[in-house]
Amino acid sequence: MTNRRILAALAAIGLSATSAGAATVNFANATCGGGGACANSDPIDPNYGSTAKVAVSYDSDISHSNPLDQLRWWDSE
Amino acid sequence: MASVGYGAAGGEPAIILTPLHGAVVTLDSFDLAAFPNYTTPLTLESQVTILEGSTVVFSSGSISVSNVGHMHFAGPYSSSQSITIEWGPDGFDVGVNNVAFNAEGGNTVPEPSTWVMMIAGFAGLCAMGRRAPKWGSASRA
Repeated sequence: MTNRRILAALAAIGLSATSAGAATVNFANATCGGGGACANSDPIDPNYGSTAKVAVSYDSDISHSNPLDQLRWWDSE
Repeated sequence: MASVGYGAAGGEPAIILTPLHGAVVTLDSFDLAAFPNYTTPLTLESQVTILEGSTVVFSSGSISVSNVGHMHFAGPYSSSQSITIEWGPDGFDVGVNNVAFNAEGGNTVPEPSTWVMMIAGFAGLCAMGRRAPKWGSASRA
């Protein structure tokens, strides 16, 4: 394969490849929405677990729809 | 479960999966458990509801959730709008973890490494095109 064909193949792979579709939200790796050190019971980053194709959001009380009252997370001691 | 998402006291928590770029999201499974850090076993009454868009597609009814082990819920549930997992009525000491989902279809969204690969390929092609002799410009003996 010539260099030109190799480079064309690289470009074609880049054009056709897509982000991975499967994902798992596991709160052991959660990040906190407030920044800085992450402690138990901190609100979860609203984008935590999101992928290029799926946005993951949290609401601790859907009836109140308070954006500041997000889902939180705990760790076992 | 060691690390779990839970709600505020008296709140009904929800995790919402919203597909982007015209994709369809599928919820495969998730786990539910009660707060594990009590020294004694804890059992709480709760109810799990799953919505495809605004349509309720699963309701567990009242179930007993323990902090010893966990309950596993399996789909699949699919939607082009959203998948919502709700539990309550008090989600303070009941939490969800290991939410497994996938997305298919929609517009392709290249990752950063993919952009690099594609741009490198095009840049290399351009560079080779500049260096190659043009047709008709080669000298004849």
